[in-house]
Amino acid sequence: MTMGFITTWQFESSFQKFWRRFCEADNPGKLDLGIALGFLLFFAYKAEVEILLLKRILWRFLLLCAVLRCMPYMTGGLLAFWVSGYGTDARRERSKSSVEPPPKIARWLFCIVLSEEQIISVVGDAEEGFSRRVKRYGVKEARSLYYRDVRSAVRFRIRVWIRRCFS
Amino acid sequence: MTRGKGRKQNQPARLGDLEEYVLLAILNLKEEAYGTTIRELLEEVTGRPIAIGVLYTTFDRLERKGLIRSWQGEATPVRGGRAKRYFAIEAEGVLALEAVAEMRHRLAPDFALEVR
Repeated sequence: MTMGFITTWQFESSFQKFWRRFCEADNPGKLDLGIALGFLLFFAYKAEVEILLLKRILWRFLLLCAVLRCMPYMTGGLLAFWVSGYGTDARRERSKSSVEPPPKIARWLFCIVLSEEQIISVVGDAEEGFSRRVKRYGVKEARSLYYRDVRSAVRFRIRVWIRRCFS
Repeated sequence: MTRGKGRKQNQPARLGDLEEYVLLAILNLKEEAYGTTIRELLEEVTGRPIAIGVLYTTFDRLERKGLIRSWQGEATPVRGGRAKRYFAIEAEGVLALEAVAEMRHRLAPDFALEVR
């Protein structure tokens, strides 16, 4: 069971690295545009460019692009959340330090939205800030501020995506 | 090192409000300048909450301009075993701050003297 889990994690990790390099090598903006045009031409050819159909195709295409673009972060984030965020060692460390853990859904969102290197610094800062705010303002206020951090991290991530696509 | 767009050589980078505050906070905190401490200092001094995304966008921008540098530090149990990302100001960052201070002094010299 353990071996299987480790193998899966290693496979996912290498796949994730490959996918990120594939997406972010040379010029991600050009790559995205290339993928976009490729799909558009393919669907246009298949559908013989019917106006009504084009709308539906465009929506599907945009959805596909979004899923493809988010996939490495989603897989990486989910695995990082599972392995490092909620592993036994991390849980033990956390139980030593703080009484109240941050909201699980917010943590999960953080891990999905951010890339691996950002998870380390941004989530670490958010958790440290959370434990300090619990002491200062109480759990409820600290939780709402933590959710605000998640929202701002989403905006931060979107800005980075946009900049990479157009640079 | 990436430089800001539309900037001539030997000319200090232009700074936004938050960028200036962040640079000053890093200068003030010295070896203890990482996300949480910078954020706390800024919140304490400015009196308004600062979201983590806004802060990291600013770090990102300053690093691209070559005004600060960052590196991974040690992990602590308070952070769930995650490493800190420390920041330090570069010489260009100090130059940019000096340019801002000089500009302010030129705009209102008497006021600047009163504050000092």
